Amino acid sequence: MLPEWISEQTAARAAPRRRHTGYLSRSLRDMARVVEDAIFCEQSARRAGFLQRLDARVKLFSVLALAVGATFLHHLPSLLALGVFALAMLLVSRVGLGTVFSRSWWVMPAVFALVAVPSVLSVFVPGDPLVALPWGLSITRQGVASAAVLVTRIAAGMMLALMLALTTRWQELLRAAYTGVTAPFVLVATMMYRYVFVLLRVAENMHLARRARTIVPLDAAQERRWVGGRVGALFLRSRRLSEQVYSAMLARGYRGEPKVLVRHAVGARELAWVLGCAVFLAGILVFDRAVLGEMAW
Amino acid sequence: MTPIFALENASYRYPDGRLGLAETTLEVRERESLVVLGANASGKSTLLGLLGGLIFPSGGRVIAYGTALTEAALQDGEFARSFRQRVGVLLQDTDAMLFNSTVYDEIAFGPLQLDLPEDQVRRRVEDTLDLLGLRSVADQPPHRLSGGEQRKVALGAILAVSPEVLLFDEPTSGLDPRFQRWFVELVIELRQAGKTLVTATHDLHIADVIADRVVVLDEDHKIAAEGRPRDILTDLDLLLSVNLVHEHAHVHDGELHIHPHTHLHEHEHAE
Ligand SMILES: Nc1ncnc2c1ncn2[C@@H]1O[C@H](COP(=O)(O)OP(=O)(O)OP(=O)(O)O)[C@@H](O)[C@H]1O
Ligand SMILES: [Mg+2]
Repeated sequence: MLPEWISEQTAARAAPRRRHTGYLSRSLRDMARVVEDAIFCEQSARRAGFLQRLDARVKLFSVLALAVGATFLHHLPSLLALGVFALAMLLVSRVGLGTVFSRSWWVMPAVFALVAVPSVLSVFVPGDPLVALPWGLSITRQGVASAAVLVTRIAAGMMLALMLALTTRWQELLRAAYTGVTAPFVLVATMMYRYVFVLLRVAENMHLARRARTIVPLDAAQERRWVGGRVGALFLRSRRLSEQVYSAMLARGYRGEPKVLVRHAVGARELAWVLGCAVFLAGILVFDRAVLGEMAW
Repeated sequence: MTPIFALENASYRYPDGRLGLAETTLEVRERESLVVLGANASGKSTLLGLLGGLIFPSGGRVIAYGTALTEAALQDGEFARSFRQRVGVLLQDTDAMLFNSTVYDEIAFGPLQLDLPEDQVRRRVEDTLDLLGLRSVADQPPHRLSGGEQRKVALGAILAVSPEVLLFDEPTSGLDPRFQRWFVELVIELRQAGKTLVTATHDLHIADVIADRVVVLDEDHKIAAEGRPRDILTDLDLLLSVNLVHEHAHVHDGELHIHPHTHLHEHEHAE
């Protein structure tokens, strides 16, 4: 027998004045989206561009080599050249400027606050003042120069990383990084990568379930409590799920070694790419040392 | 016929101390279709987990292909490899089954682990996509599909490995009648192909159609009965006692009839 209240009309409580807390409940869902977009670059990695066609191991190796080379560059123009080179390669490989930006802009404010602003001020870099500020601080020419170099260095590094991340599918990247030494790390990364998919879905479903059960908007405190509770539930759920995901992988024959379908062979394209990278790197290194080294920046 | 699996007084207790399966002795024979029936929480999934080598008995033994399933035996080596290839498990929780970025990769995952050559992997994936009518979503991430489609992808992921033994945990849950029908036909074809099937369900109709043999688990997590589907599925007292039917079920001409338990409409049936 159904309880009698089920056939009665229930009047919803009047909604309390809404404070701006919607962002909290939305945050779970948005978090899922952002993580998905930021971590998984499947779309651009599947496009038929130059970098996408390169063997993942070769690409990984070349990007690492360029990154190491970048640490020897000390001047703005050469760092800029490296960043532009990476960006150009991305554009040539049909990765849009918008994609590149959306994956990198979020680092910039932090870089600016942490690096650029302090180093521009004279407390950190003494030198010829350009603009005087209160409290005896001033912006110095040397400060501006070193901040510019720092920011460019970080931006160039970012572009190099994106060159790899936006054009390589995760599975291939993990396969490329798998060697005797790195095996344990790759194993962990593989599990995390697989697992994020599962978590994303769970988080999204929780958001929907919550929305379906909420009649009256919660007030700020309730909202915070709910999100807190969800994060807790997600954690518990995720522990159990992670065991099951692992079981499911084992049951399908997984034995710890990453295997992927697309394994490019190392051919003429790879050779040309490595050669091109080597020439470019040697070029900017010489340029940085011999030409710019003499000049004061 | 030699049994593929043998549970010898096998029991399982979850780490938190709850009993999943009480001491159970059971054999699974080659090429049979065994259906494990039981109400919610009776231990069906636990039993399948033990057979699939995903959990290991707290007491007793589980023997598969003549070897006791233990953590050590399935850790590595030839046995682990051949066991995983021969035994496929469809978990009840679809969430746990789908961990690849696209449907295509999801189905390719198993065949890849077998070290098949690339063209064979691709053929298997494409055949499986066609078999399940999933070709149009091959490039989608699995978590963007409907619940039923996700279930199909999980099923396809197992079929692509082509194991000898298929352990299905609630295979038809969340699927519409057309797909349930399709599933029954699939099972018939798998049987003709010589596969061994163990299906856990509380759907009596599915059991009736696909089972050679039925095992019933009760709410104390042990086997209450075992036998031919005809005998088990017409034994109202048994089914009532394990909560697989309610008082409004009837048997007509050796067929089980289940009427919805409701007093909203008077129903009559010609006896
Ligand atoms: N991960 C777990 N931790 C603790 N106890 C568990 C766990 N999984 C299952 N159990 C308990 O073990 C018993 C058997 O559960 P099992 O999942 O095998 O049942 P089931 O027959 O598959 O049920 P359903 O039809 O609902 O899927 C239940 O009492 C359940 O509460
Ligand atoms: Mg179950």
